[in-house]
Amino acid sequence: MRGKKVVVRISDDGKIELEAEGYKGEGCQEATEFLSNVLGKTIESKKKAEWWFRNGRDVRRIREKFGINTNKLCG
Amino acid sequence: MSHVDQIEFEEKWDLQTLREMCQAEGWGFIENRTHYEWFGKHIGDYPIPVGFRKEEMGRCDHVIDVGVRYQIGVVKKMGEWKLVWDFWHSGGLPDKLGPKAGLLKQSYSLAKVRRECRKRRLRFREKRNEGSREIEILMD
Repeated sequence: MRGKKVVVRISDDGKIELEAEGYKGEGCQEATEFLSNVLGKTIESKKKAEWWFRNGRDVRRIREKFGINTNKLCG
Repeated sequence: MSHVDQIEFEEKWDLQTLREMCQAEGWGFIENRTHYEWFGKHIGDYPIPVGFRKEEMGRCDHVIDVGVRYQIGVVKKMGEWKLVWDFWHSGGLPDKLGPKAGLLKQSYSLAKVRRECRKRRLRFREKRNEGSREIEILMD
């Protein structure tokens, strides 16, 4: 299994991107929070593709089909 | 769950991170130097930085020397640290700091991340890519 890590990528024009990898559940938000708080203001947060494929199912499709809000569920 | 956050850089400078940034980049942080190198007088070709008066240009509390002709002044204003410099091209700072000081922001952000990692005893490794630099933090 892949280890948990946070990658901080800063471009030459000063733009900052934080990427959490290898997390399940809400832990990934906590993992990057300590950095986003000191680095500036979060302007966008995107869930990665694997977030939508939990337990082997495509949650996004289930959500669309049944109109369920899955944002609060753990990954 | 995994995610990607875009963070907007905020100009909130703190002295210790500035010192650490200078050390990491091989720049000088000159404590208590009250004048930084610049053209020497404001000739009105660009606006004076917000909150500063014309006669305050060139004066500072500390200096950052990035190894070019002109220097960066570190100035305390209204309880906050501000960075001021002359961006006349021949002074060398625009090339060194990048457009809109992007390379300075990058160096400062990296110093902040290193600092937080050390505080939390997290292991990290750094990488330099084409057009960016990154720090990979091992969270296990």
